[in-house]
Amino acid sequence: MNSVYDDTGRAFRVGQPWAHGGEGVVSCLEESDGLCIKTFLNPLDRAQEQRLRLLCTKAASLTNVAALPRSLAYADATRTKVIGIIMPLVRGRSVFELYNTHTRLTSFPKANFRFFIETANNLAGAFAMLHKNDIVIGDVNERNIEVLPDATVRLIDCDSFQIADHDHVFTSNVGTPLWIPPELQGKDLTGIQRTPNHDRFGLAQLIFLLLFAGRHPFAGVPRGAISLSPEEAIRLYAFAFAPECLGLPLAPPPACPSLTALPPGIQHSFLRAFTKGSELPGARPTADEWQAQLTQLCTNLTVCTQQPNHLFWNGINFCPWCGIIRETGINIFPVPATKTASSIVAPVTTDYLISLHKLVAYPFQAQRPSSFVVTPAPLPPAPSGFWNFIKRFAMPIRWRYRWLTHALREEQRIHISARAAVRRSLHEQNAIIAAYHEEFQHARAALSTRIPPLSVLEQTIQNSDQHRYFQQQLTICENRLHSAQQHCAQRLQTAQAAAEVAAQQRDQANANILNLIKHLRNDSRQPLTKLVPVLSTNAGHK
Amino acid sequence: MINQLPFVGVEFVDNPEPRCPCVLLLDTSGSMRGQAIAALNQGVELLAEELNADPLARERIELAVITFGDEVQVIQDFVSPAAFMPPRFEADGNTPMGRAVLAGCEVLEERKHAYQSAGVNYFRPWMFLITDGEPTDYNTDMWRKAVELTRQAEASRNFIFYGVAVNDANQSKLNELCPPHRLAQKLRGLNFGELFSWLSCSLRSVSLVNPGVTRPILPPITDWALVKA
Repeated sequence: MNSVYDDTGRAFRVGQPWAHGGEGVVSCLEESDGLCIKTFLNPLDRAQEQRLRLLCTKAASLTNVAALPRSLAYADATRTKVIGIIMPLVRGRSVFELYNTHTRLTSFPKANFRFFIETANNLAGAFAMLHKNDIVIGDVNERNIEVLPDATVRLIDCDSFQIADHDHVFTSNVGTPLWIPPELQGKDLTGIQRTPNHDRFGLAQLIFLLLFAGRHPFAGVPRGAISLSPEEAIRLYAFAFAPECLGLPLAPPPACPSLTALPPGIQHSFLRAFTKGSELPGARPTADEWQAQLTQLCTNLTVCTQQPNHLFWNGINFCPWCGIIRETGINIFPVPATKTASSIVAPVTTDYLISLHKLVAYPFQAQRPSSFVVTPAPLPPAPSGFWNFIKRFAMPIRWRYRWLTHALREEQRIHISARAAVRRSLHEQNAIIAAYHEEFQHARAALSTRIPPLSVLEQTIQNSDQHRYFQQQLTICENRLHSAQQHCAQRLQTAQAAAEVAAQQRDQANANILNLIKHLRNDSRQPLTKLVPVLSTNAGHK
Repeated sequence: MINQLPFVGVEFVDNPEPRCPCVLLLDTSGSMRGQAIAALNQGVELLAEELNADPLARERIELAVITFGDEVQVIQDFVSPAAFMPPRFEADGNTPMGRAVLAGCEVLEERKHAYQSAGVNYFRPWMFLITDGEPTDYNTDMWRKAVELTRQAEASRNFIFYGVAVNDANQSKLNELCPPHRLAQKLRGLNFGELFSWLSCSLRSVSLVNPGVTRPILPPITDWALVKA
């Protein structure tokens, strides 16, 4: 398969493979820098061939927005057997490498928010041009759109575009699960005729991904107990960034800008595109409307005062990207010069060892409460009432004895319960400390499941991704331990305070008991235990 | 040293792509000693390499590795292929398969909670079990619980369970864990390379073009499976 021929009979030599797909292999063509050939794995059927021929007729006018096939490719000069298509080669990167922060730092290191808006604008322009030429894209997804370094976009994988002949519509028949509009989710797409309104769902989703640094519009924190799969979320129109009053099952995720950080026009466009009612024809914003709004947004950007690389709409007075730094410590738009992948140097293993060694449990200890010096309380008031009055004068000694022993019993009860409370709080403190140590062990164990043992780390870490990952995991572990330590300290404080209160009560009760015993002893000359049987139950002990 | 980072969710801020978690439950019992464990090591390295080569898979797929031999050990908690360092396995011990499945389910549940609180979508997770013997905890509660969990998972579309039998594995007992429409396959010889190549293709195709069919379309298994004619 080294020579292929196009519609005019011109011969090309097939060069190096460029990409592999499910349907075929894309290879460069020698002596022709701008063109490449896609060789199909399976032979084409008549409908597909006709569709490709139709697309060839539109190729010239749409060359700036889509890599439409220029001509069919034949195995030999007689042009009988179609083996592929010849189309312009697009040297760009997929759009997901742009909106995903992680990949963007290597693929598009200089991209800032304005670059995103310009790319979104050009994307809307591409869609507009295709729709004007009566082509419906059908299968919009993140791999079909290439972004060039100057923010222009080209659509690739054009062989499933929907195009109409005078008597027949060649339908798209395929779709990617996360990009199929809600009204088509779950359906068999063979033979379904797509409309520009369906495409606009994909367009709105792409613009959302670009403006929100890779956050998916239908990914959020579930409001109820049930979690939704991505396809279900789309089918239920569960736009996660919609205002709460709409009562949708998903809430916005943490650590990302809210919808209100964009102009009201764009907010409204997203709501039109994603919520219920968008399935009606003409409901979703058209590509032209998006272009107008994005062009306006581009002229209304301010620079953040804290970070020179942060740009945001001037209608709000705080930087949403700095908000993310505050919440998570991560800068989505770092200054380009310092944060390229190659500048992250692999750490010396001793740094790592030092950090690991610092992960020790804090030596908490249960504290016994201090003893208090208390003055004994005055004697309790004498019981009143008519009978008591009589008893007081009829048998004063017995009456006084009864009164004091009653008070003594009360104090004893208090003393016993206070002592039990102190003991309980000591147990509780020990339990809290044990729980802290357990949490410490868990955190260390979790860390050891995510990073390899030190013996493996003797070899240098292979790439900056691994370094970054280990650093992250180490920091997560440290934070977890720090937080556990604080939690433990708080709980210990509460338990100790309770212990102190109980101890004071206990000591007060003790003093009162001693005082009462003194009074009882003064009243009588008999040995105390005979007089007051209750004293044998070790009252007066600490 | 301590920055203001939350417990989890750090990796979701600069990579909010929908995730596809995959748990590998690998038998490292004594019977795998020698060629089998070496081939398994190589297979896992190949898996990591292939996933790393695809830029979208690199951002979306997360791998966890649990081995069961002497004890059930979570060797690697969920990590992206770029940061995955393939562990070196050593063969020793019994085959506590039930406990391994339970550990896999736990690890998966934890990860799903992390995804939900970070507001990140996830595709249906994969649980991939490779074994070459029979479960030594067969008649215990743990085995029964494991079987129940995998049955429930299939019914409620919780995760996809895939079992692979190597050498003299007891396939009928392994089939208790597998759903009826996806019974355990026998590996041809020790072709772990092809098996893991197939796994990487399947994982990558999870989010790909799908003309409305609900079940994921997997590449054919004839490369590695001993398919009875």
